[in-house]
Amino acid sequence: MISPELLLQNSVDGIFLGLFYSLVAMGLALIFGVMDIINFAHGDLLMIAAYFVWLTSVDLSVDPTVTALLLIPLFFIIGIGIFFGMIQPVLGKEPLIQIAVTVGLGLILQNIALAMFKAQPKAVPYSIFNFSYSLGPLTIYASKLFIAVISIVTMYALNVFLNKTYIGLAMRSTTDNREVAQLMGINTRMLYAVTFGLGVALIALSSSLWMTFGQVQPYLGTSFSLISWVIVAMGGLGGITGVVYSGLIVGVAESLGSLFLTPSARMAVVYIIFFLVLWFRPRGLFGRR
Amino acid sequence: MSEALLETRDLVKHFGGIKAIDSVSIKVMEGEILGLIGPNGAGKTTLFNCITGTYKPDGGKIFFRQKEITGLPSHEIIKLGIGRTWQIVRPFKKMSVLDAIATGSLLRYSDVEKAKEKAKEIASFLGLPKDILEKRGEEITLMQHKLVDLARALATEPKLLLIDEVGAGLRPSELSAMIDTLQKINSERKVTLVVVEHIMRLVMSISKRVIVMHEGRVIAQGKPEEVSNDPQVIQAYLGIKPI
Amino acid sequence: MVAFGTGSKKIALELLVIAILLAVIPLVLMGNAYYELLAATVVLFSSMVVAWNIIGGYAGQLDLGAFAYVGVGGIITSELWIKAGIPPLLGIFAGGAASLLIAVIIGIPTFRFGIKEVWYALLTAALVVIFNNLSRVLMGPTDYYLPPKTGIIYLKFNSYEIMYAIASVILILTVLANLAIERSKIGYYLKSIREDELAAEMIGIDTRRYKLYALMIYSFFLGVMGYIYIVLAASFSYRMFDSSSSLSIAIMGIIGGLGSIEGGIVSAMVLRSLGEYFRSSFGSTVPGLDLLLYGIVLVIVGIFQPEGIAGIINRINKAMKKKR
Repeated sequence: MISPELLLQNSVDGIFLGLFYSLVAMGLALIFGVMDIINFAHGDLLMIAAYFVWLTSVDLSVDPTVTALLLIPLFFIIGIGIFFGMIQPVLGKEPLIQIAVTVGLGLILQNIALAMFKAQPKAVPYSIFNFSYSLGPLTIYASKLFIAVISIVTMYALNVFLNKTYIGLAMRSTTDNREVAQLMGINTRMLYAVTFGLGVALIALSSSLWMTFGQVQPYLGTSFSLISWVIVAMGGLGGITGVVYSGLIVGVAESLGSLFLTPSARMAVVYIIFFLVLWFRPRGLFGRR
Repeated sequence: MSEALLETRDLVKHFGGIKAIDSVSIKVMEGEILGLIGPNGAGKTTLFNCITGTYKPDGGKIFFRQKEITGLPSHEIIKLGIGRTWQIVRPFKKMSVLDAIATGSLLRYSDVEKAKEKAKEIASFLGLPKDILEKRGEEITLMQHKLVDLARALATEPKLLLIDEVGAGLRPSELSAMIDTLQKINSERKVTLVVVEHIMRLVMSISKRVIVMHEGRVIAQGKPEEVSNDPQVIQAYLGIKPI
Repeated sequence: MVAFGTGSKKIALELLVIAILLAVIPLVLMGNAYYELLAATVVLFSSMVVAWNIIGGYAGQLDLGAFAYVGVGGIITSELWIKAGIPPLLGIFAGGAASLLIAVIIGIPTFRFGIKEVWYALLTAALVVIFNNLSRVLMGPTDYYLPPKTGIIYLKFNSYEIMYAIASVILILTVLANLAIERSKIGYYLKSIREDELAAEMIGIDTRRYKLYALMIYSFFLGVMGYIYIVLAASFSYRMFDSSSSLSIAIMGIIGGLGSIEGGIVSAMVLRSLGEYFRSSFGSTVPGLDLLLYGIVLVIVGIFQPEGIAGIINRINKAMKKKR
């Protein structure tokens, strides 16, 4: 029998995890929504960024939270580079070609990481959030609380950006209707590049948060890619709220799945939910796709 | 008057709050070439999509050869003898032209060799040059594409062919050839045609009867010259009230 | 797709080329057990890529779930032998049928609800993970071994040369199935679905039904191959449900060129052999060099040569025709 305390603990952990997942998936949703590019290397970019965090932490003793400030602009530029080098040539091509190229990019990143860092998982030696509170029967890890808070703040900021700035509004109107946006004189090429850069910058932020408590190994990206896509599929293109709700569902399902079944079967629960959503709500749970 | 080949009764289709089609009742008579005209957004293409089962209508009924076909899956509707083409061609880019047309023939002839023979026959009927048959869909001109789309639809041996803006993008000389081709399909193959068209020259020269749609409704029907003088039609097209 | 001419001449030529290729390989590698095992594995992988061509190449559905079917078929066949004494020569058909059943259960709702493109790819990728996790719960982390018996009714021999011959027979059967499909109604229908699903529907094709047929044939073949895979790997566990192997099958199919049997075989044989070479030569110092190679080739093919190896073969053919 599972105790109510354990159930509560796992639900809270699941909510924290879910908020983090929504942040990870947000960049993907943005990129897919604005330019219809199917990016399967999303998680692998996170993995690479996480190694940056690990390196700066080990070699330079910089805290992951500080590294984020450096990584966000750096990955914004890397993202724009990837866009012009690999994404632009396959814009508007068949989905299969886009998947092929981004899977290829993912494999390259994975195996460069494997060659450089080997397969053993790495964790940062120290993080300022390495402590926990006890709240009655509940243990709250500061790092998890921190990433949940940062995820919420970031998504709120993104919401303001999409609704209040010219570029944000251009992104939104392109998501809604590409032709009309072009007619309105939006320079789609630059918009795409900026969107891709922003999506990758969000990944860099996510990676720093992840490293405050998680580990990185070369195959970390695969599961993040799949989870991000599951969240986008479930959220539809229903905007930020759709992504957040879907992220929460995935996070809680994973957390409770590992409690009720076994930790090794936790992803099965998430993906079975994914199957059911695709079958019965093909437009996603929250809005259109 | 003979029986209608196709009939819609009070057909309704809406998207969100917009009624794309609002109780449309039309009859298509066997053997005729019916022109279907109207300004952009009048609901012509939506009507086609409802007839072919691409959209499920929200109300009303569709009969084809006296049999109700409302809500049937597309492939069954096509099998009963309805074909269609699109304003923007939909070629099978990586297949040869002959194979694309033969894929249509396979609906009636399961044997591939037989289907290819039929496909060649249709291609020569439409005047497609022999040397393009082995070319791939991505290697031919727009006019040829339109003919291949027509050939592919004809290969399913339809009784009724729904043709969506076949004139769009063609040069004047090509347009004349297309008009001849459509008439030939109608008279020699005994295929009833419904032709959605913006190009008035095309409609007026081949249709004995025209239906005008506007904002999802049928606003006029009759002979081309009568319809073109109908005040409602003029208003719909020009957006002003006639004096 | 017009690599070796047309018609029945094409079939004869194609089979001849494959047969010669398969016959020559052992002459070169004979006597070295490692190379023999490698050759058998490469041929088995090629068969998987050729089977993938049915769903991915002809029908155009980016299936990333190959090892869900390989795993189910292989494990069922093995368990039938271990637990019920059913010899694998019969058991592989049960294994194939089990995979096919899974395909039907997954395929009917998936195609019914119009799941395609990236969503289909994700769904099939998720399928492998689901099987992986659930079988981990059911089977535990243990490696299971086949009984030590050998013989034709067990499709299991100590000689890798004979295993190589068995893999070759499977490859030829898979190629024959592809050729049969390509030349019949179902092949034309599948290709038209790949090109334009709506247009296919508008010439009277029941697209859901035909996609399901493709998935069924594909999964059956993979299910049958599963057991041979286990024999070559010497053991089985939940790890058979492997995402990256499933991905490799699709990658080799794409690099070979959609709908191209010969392209698929060439890409699987070259990439897999090169990959194995890298793994054995540099595996300890630079792990993952084989996958890095796949990645680079995939990016280059995607950007510069979207029609894959088949496109190159086609171009050479055209140039040769002009010369004549």
